[in-house]
Amino acid sequence: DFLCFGDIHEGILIHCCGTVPFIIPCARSGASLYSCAFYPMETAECLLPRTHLHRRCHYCDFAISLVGDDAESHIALQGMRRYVDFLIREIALTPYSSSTGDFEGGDQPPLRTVFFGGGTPSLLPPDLLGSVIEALRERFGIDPDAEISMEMDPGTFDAEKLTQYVDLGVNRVSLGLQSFDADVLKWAGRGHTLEQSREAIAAVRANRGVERWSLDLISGMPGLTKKAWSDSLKEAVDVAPHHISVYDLQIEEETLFGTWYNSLRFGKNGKNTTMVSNLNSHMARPELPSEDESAEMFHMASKTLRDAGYEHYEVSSYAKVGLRCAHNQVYWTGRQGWYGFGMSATSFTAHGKQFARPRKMRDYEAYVEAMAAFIDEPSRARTIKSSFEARADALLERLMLGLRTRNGVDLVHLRQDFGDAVLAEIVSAVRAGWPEELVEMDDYRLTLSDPGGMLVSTQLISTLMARVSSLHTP
Amino acid sequence: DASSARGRASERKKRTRGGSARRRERRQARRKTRIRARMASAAPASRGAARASTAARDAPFAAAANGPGRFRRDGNGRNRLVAVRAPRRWTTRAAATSGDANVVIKPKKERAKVDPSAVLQVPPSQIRNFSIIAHIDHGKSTLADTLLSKTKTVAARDMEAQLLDSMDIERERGITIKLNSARMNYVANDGETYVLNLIDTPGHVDFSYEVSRSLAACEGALLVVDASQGVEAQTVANVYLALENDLEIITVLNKIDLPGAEPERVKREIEDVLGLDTEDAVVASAKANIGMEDILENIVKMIPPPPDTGDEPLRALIFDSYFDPYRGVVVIFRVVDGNLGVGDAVKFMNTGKSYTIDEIGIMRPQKVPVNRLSAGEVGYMIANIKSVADARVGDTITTTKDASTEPLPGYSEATPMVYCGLFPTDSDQYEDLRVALGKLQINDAALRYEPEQSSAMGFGFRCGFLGLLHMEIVQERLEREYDLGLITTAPSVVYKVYTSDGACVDIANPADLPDASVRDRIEEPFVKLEMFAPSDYVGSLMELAQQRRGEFIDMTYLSESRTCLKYDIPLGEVVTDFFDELKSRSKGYASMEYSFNEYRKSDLVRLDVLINYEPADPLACICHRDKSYVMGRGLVDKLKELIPRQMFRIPIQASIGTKVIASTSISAMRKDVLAKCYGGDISRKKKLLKKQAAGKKRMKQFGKVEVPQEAFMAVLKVDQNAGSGG
Repeated sequence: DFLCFGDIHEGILIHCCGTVPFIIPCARSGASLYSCAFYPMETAECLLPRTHLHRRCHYCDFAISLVGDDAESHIALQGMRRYVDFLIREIALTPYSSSTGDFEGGDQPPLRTVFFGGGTPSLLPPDLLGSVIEALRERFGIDPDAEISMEMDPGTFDAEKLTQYVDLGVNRVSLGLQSFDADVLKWAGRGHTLEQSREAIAAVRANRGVERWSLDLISGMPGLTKKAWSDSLKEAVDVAPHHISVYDLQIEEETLFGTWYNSLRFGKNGKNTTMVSNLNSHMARPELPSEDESAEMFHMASKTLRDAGYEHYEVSSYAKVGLRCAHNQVYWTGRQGWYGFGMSATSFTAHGKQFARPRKMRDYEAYVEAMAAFIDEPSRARTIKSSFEARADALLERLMLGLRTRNGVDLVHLRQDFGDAVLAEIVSAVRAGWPEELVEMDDYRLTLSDPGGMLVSTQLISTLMARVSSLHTP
Repeated sequence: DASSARGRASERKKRTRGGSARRRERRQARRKTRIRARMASAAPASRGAARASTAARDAPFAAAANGPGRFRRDGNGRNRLVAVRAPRRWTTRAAATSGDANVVIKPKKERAKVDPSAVLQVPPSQIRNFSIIAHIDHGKSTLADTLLSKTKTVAARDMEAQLLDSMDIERERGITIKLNSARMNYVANDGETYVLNLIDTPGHVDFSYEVSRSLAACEGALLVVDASQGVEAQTVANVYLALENDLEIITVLNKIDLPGAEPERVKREIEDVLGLDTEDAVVASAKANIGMEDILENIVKMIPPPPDTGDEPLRALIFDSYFDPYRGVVVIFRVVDGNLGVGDAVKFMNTGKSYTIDEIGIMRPQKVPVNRLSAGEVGYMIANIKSVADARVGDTITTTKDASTEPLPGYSEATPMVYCGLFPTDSDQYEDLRVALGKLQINDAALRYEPEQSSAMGFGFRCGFLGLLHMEIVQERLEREYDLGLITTAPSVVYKVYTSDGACVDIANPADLPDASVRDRIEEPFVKLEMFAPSDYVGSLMELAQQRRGEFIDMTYLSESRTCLKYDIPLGEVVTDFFDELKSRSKGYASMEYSFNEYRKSDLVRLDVLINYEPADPLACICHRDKSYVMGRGLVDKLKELIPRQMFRIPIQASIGTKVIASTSISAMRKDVLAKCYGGDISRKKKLLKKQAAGKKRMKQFGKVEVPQEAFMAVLKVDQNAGSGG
């Protein structure tokens, strides 16, 4: 595994990201946000800095703070600075030992990937980003060849700012475009226009320091037609990014989309319709594509992008050969760990040890203060599990993440790590419960077919969970 | 020399009351003739029919109180116990909440201290035993409350609304399930103190056998009729039961204080429908405390005292029993002949079991121990009895020595009328379910169960119940008290299947039905159904009864605006959504009542369901050939709604034998994917997957197809209105 040095216990990834408390975010691209190791999470509010509106993207549910109308205002800067201060303290206080098992100082391997995401890191003034990178380098070291990715939203940066980021070490950019259709962008509450998207693409492509770049698209968006989707895909192929992420829109509760569409989807009797329509009667509410239509869009993306030479290496990710996102691989192989810093970030450092940080700024500050006080990680952040649960959890994670990827689940590793009995149970559950056309299995690998199997991956995995007793606690 | 003084007093009384007693007898005789005539026309051989209904005691009012659809489940409350046989006694509620068989019954070393002056002793002539009969919601419980406080039996400070309905399920459903009794002392206008024993009756004809035994323990009954609503189906059924037991009936028009009260119209209805004299009817309101004295005086004057048979061999009628985890079974009885006391060796004549009495006493309504009880009195007994099945309602208690030769009439075994399969959602809970059923049975003699097994459902039990209400209550208790997740299959009645070699088998599980080639004929239980409704709804109710294969018997007008419809109808058609349908078609105004009539030959077939070409036994049902198409169509459509889409197309078929009569299919799920899953998301997505997997685990597996719990009741939800055409 190219990311990992030595065995599992040493694998360290870091991602850090900064976002900021009152700040940032905008989770405008669902996509880029999630990819932040640090920040990801639920309810988010996003703000669209350039529009002078306090708006959030209508599908966003990350833990972020509103920046306010003007990301460069005094108050916003102050908030970001304060957040970055805490972030740096957290980084400085994070011990190797707790993250990497028994590792005892000495020659720790430096970080191989760093990812800034979970909000809109591109709102962060370059000097603040620089101090975060510096803190990481000081504490853990950063490999000279490390992939340092950053999520960037069109409209929040220009060529000059990008150059400054690149000078600080950023060498991979993930552009949160979401759509090449102006109406869809508007309906989704995105803060940027199509022109800004194109300018951003041009800036990224022109910058020689950006070794690789990625582009995010969302399918199944309200108002998105198959025609518009096919055009978006074509335009994406035309601008030739190294990597494309295609997300199927998820309607989360507590987002505006959730309010709009969940009642329609689930309340067949239309109970809530009146309420909802009153609530938003002033807003255009385009129709959500049907399940069949969005399934069709998934098929279209798979076909178009594969035809254009992209490899569909994970449910939502496509890359030119050899250009997969190094960082994400860490999550999906399930055999390595990572550090996470920042509000609501999660780190994973060895089987069964996962730490999630508080999701609110104030709590997060208190958490960092507590770290300072005890040196060691505060006990409340520690998830203590029985060995059985930990094992079941690790197994679940291995399957859940592995089956999302084209590489699938490595059955040889699975047997090494969990034993023959577990392997046998899984194989027989797959044979009994999964339709043949959705799965590819041989002696070494269990993989979902593309795109049919991937499209129903949640069903398949939950069926497996229901029938493999090693996957749930007795 | 108190006793001789009392004796003289009663002598005097008998003399002075001789004249009025004779008048009363004449009046009674006259009335009874009228009523008998009426009953004969309504139900041929009324006595036999009523007895049969006693044996059947099925469920109309299961539904009557609260149809399955409206059954409220109490999400938060494990402590909101539901009990059929679980005791609801005022003083033993804490103990009463469990039917826990593991509790060791401690032998009582010392007998309860008896305070001889605590309970007033009177001769039989000054005892009145009565019960209250009423339709649901006509104010029975409130009347009982008012009588208790009026006679100062319960101190004002201990008084709470609906004292008699303190059990949770009764409160939840607004009905009385469990009977109770209370002894009251009342100083009448003639200056004498009378002992009045109120024997409460369950307000449910699921338990009509218990009702009939309670009534058999009385000499009179208060018939409570809501003065604004009039006679309802249950009123009629209860009055028939009371007349069966030769009770003196005192009519009470309750809720007279309500603006809508129409006492004159209701009196007319009572005379016309029930044939009762309303000359002496008391106009009352238990809530506003109107007419209570009149009621008490009428009880004393009109209800005959129990016969003075204290010297004869002991015969006492058990009308209730319940299991107290600390004391064992508490038996509630009425002494008919002779007397009994602490330390006596007694025998239950029908079960043949013998016991020594540890404690005996009266209910006021809390238990008060006494030394002896004699003819005419009502009380309780504790004798180290381990299960209520050993002290069955209707049994006769006699002494071991000088035993009575003849048991009291009317005893009958519990015969379950409705069966269903109960399976644990999680197969690991099978053993827990077995233990829980065993514990419930200790306190519920009518509950039957035997192991059942099916490839899809795993191990479970086939359980028999008195009716739908009984079934719901047992399920509810298993879920609440024993924390079991259950899957219930659709209820089925008991069919008699005659095979070609002449043998007859009882079939309570459609899956057990012998193959058509070896069947000679199938007989199914028919009931007599009475529906009372405002005349406006007659058309739609007749349509309903016809759809459900009812055979019209009779229609009578109670008044210009109210009608009584009588039908013979298969029980199997009633134990579906019949009651809900009745209520919805009549906007809630109709009431119904039924009693078992007979087994009749019908052209019945078994409708099988195939899911993904595999037969799903628990979904099979027995229905009439003429309705099989409608049922089959409805069933597959309903299943299509209830079974979630899966990763492949699922054909669903209904068939009779090998012939498919209806089919549909559930299309494959197109999309179920989580778009993103990165570092911070992983634990969140994991939770989501776990939740989804837990949902799947609760489902049952037919081949590759996962079928949710609700689907097993699908047959009840089939819309039979569509195109059956009667």
